[in-house]
Amino acid sequence: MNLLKKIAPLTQNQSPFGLLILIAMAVYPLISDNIFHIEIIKLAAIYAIFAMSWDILTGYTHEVNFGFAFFIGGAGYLSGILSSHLPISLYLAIPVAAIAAGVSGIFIGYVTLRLKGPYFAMATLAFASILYKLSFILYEITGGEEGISGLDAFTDDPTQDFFVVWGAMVAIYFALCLYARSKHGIILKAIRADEDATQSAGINTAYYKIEAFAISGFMAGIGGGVFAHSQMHIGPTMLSGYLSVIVVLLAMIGGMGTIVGPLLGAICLSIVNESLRIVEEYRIIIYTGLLILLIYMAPDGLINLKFIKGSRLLSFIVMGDRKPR
Amino acid sequence: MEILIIGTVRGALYSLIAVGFVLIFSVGGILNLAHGTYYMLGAYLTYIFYTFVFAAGGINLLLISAILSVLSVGIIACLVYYILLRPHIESLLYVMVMTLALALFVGEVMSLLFGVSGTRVPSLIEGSISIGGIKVINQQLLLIPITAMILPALWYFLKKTKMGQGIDAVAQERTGATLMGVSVETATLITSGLSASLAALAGALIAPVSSVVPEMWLFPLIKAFAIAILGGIGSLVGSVIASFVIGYAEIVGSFLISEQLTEMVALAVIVLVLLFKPSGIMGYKLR
Repeated sequence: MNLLKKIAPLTQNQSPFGLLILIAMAVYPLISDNIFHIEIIKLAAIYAIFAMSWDILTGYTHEVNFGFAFFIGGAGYLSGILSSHLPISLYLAIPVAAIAAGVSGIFIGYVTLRLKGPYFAMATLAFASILYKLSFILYEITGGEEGISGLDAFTDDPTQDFFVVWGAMVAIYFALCLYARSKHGIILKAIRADEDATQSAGINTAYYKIEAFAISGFMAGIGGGVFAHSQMHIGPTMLSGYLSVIVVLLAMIGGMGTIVGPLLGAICLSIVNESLRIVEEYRIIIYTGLLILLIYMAPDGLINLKFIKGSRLLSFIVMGDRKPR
Repeated sequence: MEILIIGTVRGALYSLIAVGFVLIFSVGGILNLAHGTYYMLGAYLTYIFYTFVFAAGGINLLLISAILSVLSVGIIACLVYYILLRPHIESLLYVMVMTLALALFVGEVMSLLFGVSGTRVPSLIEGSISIGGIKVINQQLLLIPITAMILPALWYFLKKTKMGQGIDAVAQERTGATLMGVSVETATLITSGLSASLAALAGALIAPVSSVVPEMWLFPLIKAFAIAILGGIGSLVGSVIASFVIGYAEIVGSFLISEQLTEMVALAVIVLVLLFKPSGIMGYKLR
């Protein structure tokens, strides 16, 4: 009974649309055995993990983390190196890598969060670029431009692989929702609104920001590890600025500071991206062009569009909050 | 001696790039991640004008195409500011994301049009001369007098002309400038064009001696970052000094340790300066 009471907030005020998407993703592989499509939703789920874990820091505190590939690629490389060079199972390697990402989140947060606005963004960008360069310089361990191939896979079956990724995504989604609704999430929102006022209310804002940074890094680390092992490959593209900015774009277009927004944005847009593979030559151009257009039209994100916020029904379906009449 | 010459060339190149980056940040508050893209466009448009419009004929036409490319990059930058950035200029995140997405987009377009391996542009002045026993390519040396002319001209524009003083005023105190009848928007528009043109000039000048490839926007962007931070954001003099400091530091680093580490110099500078002296060497105090 006690446990039920604790879990209850999980189901209350959940976004019906978000839950629907999560379930639909799980049902699809059961009714279809098109491996190509399953790969696409697997990738979408992984991008959703990235976008959600980015959101918990930047969406809730507006401290712009522009070097998110640092955590994704860093953890991916670490777990890849651990499981391929040492006799360590990937089920141990991924958590270790994720914890390392979380710890480096604490470290980077500690040294950079006193910087404001653009300076913080630049510092995170610089950290990610350093790791990117290191992946070339330390080519004996990291494989240089080629990266490391032939990592251990979760299972031999793509459908079961997908369910591992899906499970990770659902777990991270609920964990982040819970965190965002806890006292900690509310404090983060207060920091976003006015950091000085929050501080004068006797709250150690630096502690909460670093905590959010660590959680964000940890979750991204899980995502990065899962990504590396489900692709069975890790390369410098996972540390590149391209990945960082794509994560930022996905989360922003979905709607920052809502967790469900980045989830929806990442899933929808990744599916669009992968479907564009029929015109592979123009894919990245069309995709980035589309992202630029979307961010121009809806800078606050799709789920914060006026007509959704204005309508009670739509805002309930998408956001899950019941507004008083 | 070698270090001195090559370092000066690099410093001149970096200062052309970084001055514009610092200028647009201090005037418009725009952290322009597409700055490297303007540099790239300077090189690519020179190539496009020279090859397709003037059918590769003669040095004079090459000079004209370089000038045309600088001007058109300035216009493109004005359009980007006016159409894409202006509506949400107060959101730092929006500006950063938009400019970086643009940079990726342009890079992809260029690699589709001209291939990943890139193209070549002929030199304005051919050949090389040796100074104190070191061979230096003339095209690179050209950077030094041009920078030496451009930077004082920029200083004169900002301090002595009415329009420049307006821009300077906006950089120092937005509200005050508005109250004195300076249009912040016009000042930012002009600065966008100006800063992009400077980057494009650097790109057009360096195009003959470096390969024109779709990824060439990234390295000047990181350098501009490092210089802006080392020099102190908002200080043009600081950024010029920082350009030469980083230029020499890279050359010394590549001579003493290895070529690979030159790229790391700029990144290490960013992190160290941000951690220990966030205001840079000439910057205003933060907060």
